[in-house]
Amino acid sequence: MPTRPSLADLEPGANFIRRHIGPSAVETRDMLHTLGAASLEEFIARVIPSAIRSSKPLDLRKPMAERTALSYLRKMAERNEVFVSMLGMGYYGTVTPKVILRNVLENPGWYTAYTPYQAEVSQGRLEALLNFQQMVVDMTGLALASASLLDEATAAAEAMAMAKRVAKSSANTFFVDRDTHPQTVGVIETRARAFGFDVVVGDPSRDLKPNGVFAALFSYPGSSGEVRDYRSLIARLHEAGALAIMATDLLALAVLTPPGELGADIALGSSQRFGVPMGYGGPHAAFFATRDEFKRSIPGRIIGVSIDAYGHRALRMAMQTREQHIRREKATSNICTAQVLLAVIASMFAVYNGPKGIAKMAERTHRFAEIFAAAVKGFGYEVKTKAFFDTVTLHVPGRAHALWARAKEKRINLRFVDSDHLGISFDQSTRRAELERLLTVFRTDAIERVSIDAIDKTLGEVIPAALRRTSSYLTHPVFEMYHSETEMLRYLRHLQMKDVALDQSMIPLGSCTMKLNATTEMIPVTWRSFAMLHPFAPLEQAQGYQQLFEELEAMLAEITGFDAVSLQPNAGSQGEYAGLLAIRGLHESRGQSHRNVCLIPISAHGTNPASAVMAGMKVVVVACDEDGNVDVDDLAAKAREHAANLAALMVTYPSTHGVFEERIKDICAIVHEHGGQVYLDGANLNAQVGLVRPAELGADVCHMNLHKTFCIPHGGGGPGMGPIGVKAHLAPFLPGHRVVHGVNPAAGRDQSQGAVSAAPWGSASILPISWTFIAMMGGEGLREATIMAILNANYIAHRLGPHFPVLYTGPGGFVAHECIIDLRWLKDRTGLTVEDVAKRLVDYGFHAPTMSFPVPDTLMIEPTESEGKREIDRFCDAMIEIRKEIAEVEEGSAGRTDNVLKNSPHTHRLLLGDWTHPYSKEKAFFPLKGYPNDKYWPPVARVDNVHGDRNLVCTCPPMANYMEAAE
Amino acid sequence: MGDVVFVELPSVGKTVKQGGEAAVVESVKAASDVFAPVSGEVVEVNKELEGDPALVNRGAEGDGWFFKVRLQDKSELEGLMDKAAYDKFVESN
Repeated sequence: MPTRPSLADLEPGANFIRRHIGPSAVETRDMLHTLGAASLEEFIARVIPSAIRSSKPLDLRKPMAERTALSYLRKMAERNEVFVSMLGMGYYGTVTPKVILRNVLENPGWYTAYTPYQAEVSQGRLEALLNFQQMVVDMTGLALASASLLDEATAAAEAMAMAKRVAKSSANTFFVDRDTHPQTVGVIETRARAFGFDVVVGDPSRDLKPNGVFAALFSYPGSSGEVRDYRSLIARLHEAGALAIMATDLLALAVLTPPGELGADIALGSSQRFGVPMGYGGPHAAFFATRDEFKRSIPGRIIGVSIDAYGHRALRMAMQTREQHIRREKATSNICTAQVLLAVIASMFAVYNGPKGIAKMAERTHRFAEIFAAAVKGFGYEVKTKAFFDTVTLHVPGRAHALWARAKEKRINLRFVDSDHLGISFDQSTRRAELERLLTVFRTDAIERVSIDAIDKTLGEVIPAALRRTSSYLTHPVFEMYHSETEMLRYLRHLQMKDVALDQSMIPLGSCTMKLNATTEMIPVTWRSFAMLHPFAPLEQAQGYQQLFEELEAMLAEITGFDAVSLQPNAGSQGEYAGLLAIRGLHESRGQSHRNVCLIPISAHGTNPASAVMAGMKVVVVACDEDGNVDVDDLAAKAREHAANLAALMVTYPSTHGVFEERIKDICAIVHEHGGQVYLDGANLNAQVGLVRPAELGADVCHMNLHKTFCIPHGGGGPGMGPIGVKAHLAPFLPGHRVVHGVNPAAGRDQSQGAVSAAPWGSASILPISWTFIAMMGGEGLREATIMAILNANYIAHRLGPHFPVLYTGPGGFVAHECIIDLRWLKDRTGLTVEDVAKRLVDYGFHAPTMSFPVPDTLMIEPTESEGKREIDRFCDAMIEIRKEIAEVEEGSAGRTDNVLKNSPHTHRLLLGDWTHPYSKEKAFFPLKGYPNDKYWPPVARVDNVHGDRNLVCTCPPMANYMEAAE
Repeated sequence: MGDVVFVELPSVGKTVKQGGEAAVVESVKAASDVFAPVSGEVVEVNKELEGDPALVNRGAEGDGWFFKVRLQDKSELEGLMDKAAYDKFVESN
């Protein structure tokens, strides 16, 4: 009789590792066998030079089961207390429509997609983003809007940098309205300092000298709630050749005359209150709009309308050459991503509510504020704000603290401005009962109770007529068509189906680490006790978050080997910037502020030089050898040459070419010898976790893309997170914060380092994702994941090697976690391009690998550990089949212009007319035998990029075009 | 570069320096600076390029001109390539 398994054998234990890692034990054995390795350990020993391997295993807790991790987090979340938030300051309560919550925010079809570089497989979210741009254009009254920025404060800093570029005025001073959210002022000052701009913060009516500034930023409404008419100041700025920038609020603009009509050149703000939870600071999508004449200078991504190869309407990202990838050290912004998922939510909020719904919630919010102001005036309080939308400031000499504390007892958070002033903000989520509760804070027993309805009847408008909006908004039909839940549900599904996301197939983008975003990791994000906290809520109400930060910082420090971690940067590029500022801070503290030379290898990602320039450094390029490795002799020569001024080296590891460079420790040592610090770009950290620690290689600071290595989904192009780890000597120079003190415990009392993001801990509400991943994998699981990611990449290199040249391998002939296949020969021999291969993959149902980075006319493939062998084989089969299709052109059996590659991707529309191509329909649409069941039908054919960039249209086209597109 | 989609021209009256950045030309794939061949004051720019940047592709040596400069120093001309030398230069790159 076979032995009966014990109960212990039958218990599940912590089995998430097997869920996260794609290949099964059998598949792993097969792949090892193919590569001629006996075991994973033997394999990895051959890939990573022993000199760089860490001798210390990861000291993390044992892996948690999925249920256990959620219970643990639930307890943590319960330590957060959700009070009614009336703090304002750019973060407001909002009600996320459940149909959007479930079908966008909690839907892998939306959150696992990548940035829409491959337009043909991204039409759904491109349309949602175009709606976002249209919504921002309508609300702000300006001609053109981008597809979102990281947060309001960085958007304001981007506006400053853009204004400096385009203003006719040659002044070097930027004026900031003192009634601006303090976190925005903080980020502006950090940026301005590195750029060398002077900032004056003051009262515009008194302190602004239009002739002495290149631009001024007005807050409209002000942080205090006051709404002021800036028309005449704007006109005077224009006379002086300076720009007028307005930090504003989408909901307020339903009531107030829009910035465009006041003459403003740029308007920006946060779209958070359009349905995106506060999430203790983020992620949220900032909006940015400007005049048509500045369209070529707008920072960040912008979606444009173009046509496809058959003349049908197709959307795409416009003006990509403006990106830092191409501008490199000429770039004036390092903004490299957007907040797509959150911008999609905000746009759908507008689509679902429509202009009437938005108007009603804006008027309601405004009315609550008016009733409150009238009621407390009746109680004898002094209301400081005269004209306001949703926020009032009370002058309560010496009593602010007592009233603030009294409100807190009633579970309401007010803004404690100073001992004499309180701020109170209302929002879409405010209810009558909450207003009544709030009034009890201010009413003493001696005062008679008031009827809200009675006050409502007596009110007069507080906003002057000249600032009351008269123009219409959200007039495009898309904002009228989807108001029933049935319609909205289908619209979301209709858009989602157009896109390839990880729920459809592998997305083998090199350097992007498109791994599993497990459901268990995502669940806590929308829990009320994580989602509904205001970032400036009293710390005692956020103890769960504080615990999360401490634990996650400790995990990340253990993984990277660093002493301190800052969670503030909202993207990898922001991490680079924060890291370089820390290096600058260190040099300054040592009296070496002249150290400003940043060495960057030619192979670096374009954001590296862009960040260095933004941090006030001078870029010196270091050569690479034929294998893509840093040319150590050139590095040593340049370090020597610039020794007196050397600030830093920025280096990516494993290299952007996907190789474990053996001499990385020598490289770091050379830089240190000459007085510089080493910034390690952690984009490729997924090849290191559990095997190599950046700090042990010699790096002083490194960013971690939580949206790559640590499972935060890419959201279709944001959110991301780019925390940085530093060695102890840099810890005092990590980012601080203007509003929340003690964000960086190592900073000491002066907190001299500025903030790089609006929120103290960045996009806090997505940090549970990375915590959960690390907790469920444990040290052993993370290490295994790294080895499997490297095994998968080498298996692909091995399978494709006989068909395509594989560029750059390390010692032993292995690649790291990604491989580059060379297609530079293609054009001369066949007239085909790397783009033809990328688009042909769409016919096979795949998102293309990374195109032309880091080497032009190559494809970089990164499978991650989450893809199983079956999917990897399907991808390799597709590539090998495409190689045959290329050979047909090469040999002449297929034409150079009318072939499956040039005509790809093939859409369903081609089935309607006569078939005129020399190849069969089967070959066009179902090229891979044996995989017929999961056909992806691209909604548009090859998108015409040239047409789009020559004829820029960045708002929703008239409805007739949609009809035409549907035909 | 491929198909040019946008040309950014200097403002009339601006002084440019030989070898210095004077304009920007953008295609879908790249953005490149255009360097001034000689020093001087910009006296006219080709407004046609704003509406039809493809002129640069169609007639780089004719209708696709960028700007006219009032020469500051005639001797700068001596260092420039003639057509034959330039054609050779283009071919070899």
